[in-house]
Order: sequence, then C-alpha cells, then structure tokens
Amino acid sequence: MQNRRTFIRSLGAGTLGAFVLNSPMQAFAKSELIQLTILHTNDFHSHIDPFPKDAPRNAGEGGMAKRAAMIDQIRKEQKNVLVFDAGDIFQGTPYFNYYKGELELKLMTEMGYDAAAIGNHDLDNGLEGLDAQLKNAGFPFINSNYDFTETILEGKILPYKIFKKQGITIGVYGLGIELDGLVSKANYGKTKYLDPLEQALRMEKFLREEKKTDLIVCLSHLGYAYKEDKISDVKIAAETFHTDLVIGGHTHTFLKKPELITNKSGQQVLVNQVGFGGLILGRIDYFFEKEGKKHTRNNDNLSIK
Amino acid sequence: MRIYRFGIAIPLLLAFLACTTYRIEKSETANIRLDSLVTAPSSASVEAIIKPYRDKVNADMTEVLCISSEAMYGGRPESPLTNYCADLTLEEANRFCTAKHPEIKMDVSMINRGGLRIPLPKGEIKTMTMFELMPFENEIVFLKLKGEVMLEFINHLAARGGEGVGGLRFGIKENKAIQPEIGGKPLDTTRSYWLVTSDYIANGGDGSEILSKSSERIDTGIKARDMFIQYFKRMGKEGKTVTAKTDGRIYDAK
Repeated sequence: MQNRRTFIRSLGAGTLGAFVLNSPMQAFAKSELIQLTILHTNDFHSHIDPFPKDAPRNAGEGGMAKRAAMIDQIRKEQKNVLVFDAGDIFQGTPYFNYYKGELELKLMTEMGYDAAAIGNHDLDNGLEGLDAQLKNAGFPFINSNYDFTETILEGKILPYKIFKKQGITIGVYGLGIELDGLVSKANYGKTKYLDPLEQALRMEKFLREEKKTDLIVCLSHLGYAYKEDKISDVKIAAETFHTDLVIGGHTHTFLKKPELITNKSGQQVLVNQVGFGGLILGRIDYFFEKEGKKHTRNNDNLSIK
Repeated sequence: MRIYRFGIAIPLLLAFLACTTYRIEKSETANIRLDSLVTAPSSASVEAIIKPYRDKVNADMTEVLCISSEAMYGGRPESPLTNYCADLTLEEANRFCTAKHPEIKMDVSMINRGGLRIPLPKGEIKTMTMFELMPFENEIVFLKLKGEVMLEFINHLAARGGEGVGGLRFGIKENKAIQPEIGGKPLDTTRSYWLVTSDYIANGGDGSEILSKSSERIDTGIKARDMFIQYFKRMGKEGKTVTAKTDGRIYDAK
C-alpha cells in the first residue's frame, strides 16, 4: 500500500486524474467493441457539499461539484455513459430541510443523471413532497413495485425505461423497499407495496423477451443483504433469470468491488453499492460485441475526495 | 437487429497495470480507489447552482440563537437535556394554545430521549445546533388522554427507564411508575389530561402504541425543531442564559 501511495504522488495529480479516468479497456474500444459506461450513486442523502472539515469521518470528502467534475471527465473520454441513482437522495443535511430536495434534483439534472430509484427517505415529505419536486428532475424516477394508482404520483413514476446507446439497448427497472414500518403511513398514503421479486421477474421477462434489450439493469433500494430471510439486492440477483446488474442502496454498504452472483440461468450477475453520502462514484464498463464474440466488463468504484 | 451476449470478465485491468505500474496491482484487486489520492476539481457550473442556496443556509445556520452556561447531556431516568427540552416544549405549546386554542392547556410534555441526537454545547447555541439536535422533521401533536390512558402511558415511560417529561413527576419501581403527579397533584384517573409530544411518539413510535387511545388529537403542523429555534431565539433576545437542571422528576423508587 505504501509503495502505491508513493508511486501515485510522484505521478502528480493531473496525470493521475487522466490515468484513473481513462479506462484501461480503451484498447478494446478501438476495435469493434462498443463500450458502455454505467456510473452510479446511492443514498447520497442531501450531501451537496463535501463532508465538513471537522467531521469525525470522511472530512472534506464527497460533494456534488466534485462528483459533477468527475462525471464530466468520464463523459469526455467515453461516448456511451449512463448515470443512475438507487434512491435516498433526500434527507441528511439542512439543504433538504430548507429546500425539500429542490437543489439535489436540480444538480442531478445538471449532471445528466438518466434515472433514479425511489428510496424510503425520498418520501420523507410524503408523496406530495416528492411530487412537488419532480419538476426539478430532468430525469425519471423508476419504480416497478410501488402501485401509485390511487395516489398523487399516479402516472408520474416510470415502471421501466429503455435507453439506447450506439445501437445497444439497456432496459432499466426499479425496486423499492417495504414501506410499512419504515415510512409513516401518512407519508406513503395509498401506495401499494408489491412483492419485489415477482415484479423483478415480470419486468426482466418483459424487457428481455418483448423488448429484446441487450442489458437489463435493476435500480434497487432494497438493501444489499440481510441475515434474516428478507428480500435484498443480492437475492434479486440470485433469483432472477435475465437481470445483468443490480445497482443497490439503502444499507449504505461500501463494496470494494461489485459482488458476482450466479443467477437462475447460471449467469454471473453484478451487484454493486457505493456506501452513502456521495463519497464514491460506482463505475461499471461493459464491452459489447456482436453475438458470438466476447463481452467483457470492468468496474471501478471511484472515491470522491 | 443486433444481438449482444455476455462473455466472461477478464482481469485485463491487472494485466494493463502490470506493464506500467507493477507495484500497484500487488495490493489491490480490480476495483480501485486510486483517485482517493487525487484532489478532484469541482464543476464550475454545479458550484454556481449551489452557491445561492449554500449562502442562505450557511447564513442561517451560523446565527447564534442564545448562550448556554453549561453543556447539557441526555440520559435516563432524567437528565438536564431531556428535562430542558421537555420543559421548553410544554412552555411553547402553551404559548401556542394561548394564541390559537385558548380553550385548552397542555398538562404534560414528552420528548423522547432517542430523538435528541447530540448534547447541547456550552456557549453559543446556533441554528445548526438545532439541526444536529433534531435532524428529523417531527411535528408537534396535542393528545387528550383519559386519566387511565395517561397512567398507562406513564407506566410505559417507566418501563423504558424514563424519558424527557415536563409537568410530570413519578418514581420507577420494578419497571412501573409509582406516585405519578401531574402539575404537582396526584394523577386523577377520573379526569382527562392533555399531552404534547411529537407525531413520531403520537403515532406509536418507541412502543407508545397506547397513545392511539387518545380521545382527541390536534396536529399543530409545527415542526419541533422550528419550535425549539423560536424558543432559543427568544431566550437570546431576552438576554437569558440557558441553564440546565435535574430536579428528581423521574426517580428510582427502591
């Protein structure tokens, strides 16, 4: 470790920045492979500014302006970038108490986020509180297992979305955690919570068989894994057939690298989660080639310091 | 229609690093936190959006509300912090009643120990201190309780080893309340009392389901934190120093 640090310092920050952000897989990009870069956050909890200088932990780390710079840098280098958030955007600093999520969503829009899942804290000001802020989000919230039919959010939350990058289609669905006991009844109102696994199976079948998407991503706010028998990001990965990637949240789990889980089709699925507070930017690069050739992936959780 | 399929992840990253930076891959696997050592520049456009919001929040957060003569810590069965917060809640609630509900008066206040997240510091109490003390968006609720329901609630507080209470005094013996007094008089089960607390507690939080048996409920819509800010601001304006005390309102009855 010490060796590495010494080496990195000697490189100088500018060089290192370029070194880090340039994917080592770019050699591939020059061939016929198509590279797709997925960036993601979860549970950033209104951490607009870096953690305070006197914070007991993570002092000076994170911050949306730095995250934005990092994303900008990656966009300069990569043609096909998607940026997702797995929920709990709201609550955690006075910015939320003051502006009720307005600034968080405006900044995510400025940064070009493509979609977000709904976390339990995103309902801290009720369905009305989220509804009132949707106008500040230039990206959709995706959820496939909350039935908002009888609520103010009816028709305003997408059950899925299909993105297209250089001919590759990416189907994204979203899962939310059980609301009862976690969110006050007054805040979720008549929202019906549907079984996440059932909805995941339904969505992935639809996205693969009907919509023929090449990559299926689940934005989950279920939590990474639990000791008890409770549905989680890892369970979704293991119990589904077509989902390629689960981007998780809720448990504030700092994964050093994405977990590889074998799914019901015997395929390896990635599950990732990057802690909380906007400290780390998750990065996963997929390399696509026409059928018959190899498709590889690379991943990288980037600290925002 | 182009069809894409998965292959196997190859540890190419390591191979790549190995050719230029042999030492690096020794201590790490494919998932790097390399840039933890880089000072990332900030996005100017994002900074520009944040600035007016930040300036407003910072200006408010650093406002000194009043001065405290000593640090106040929380604890059970009673403590300077829980007593102080419960007392100010009772006082502010009755100030509100005088203005908006002159027909009623709060008898007892209850602020849960767990909801007070930091000790109050000695010296300057700032708006930020209030956000740290109470990060949640709890609102103030008034509940009318029959004497017997109030007694059951007090027993629940005793079973929890004590909580922040105002207007109330009782002993704890074998996890039950003994000799409960409200407003200096023994609790009378034949009459009703008004309790002021947070919506979190009123909705059954921390095991207080008994409060669903209230005979009347008023949701004031006032955030507990806003009420505290208002109170401390007034203390500052009136030049009063915040001083804590314990007075044996909840005691161990052996």
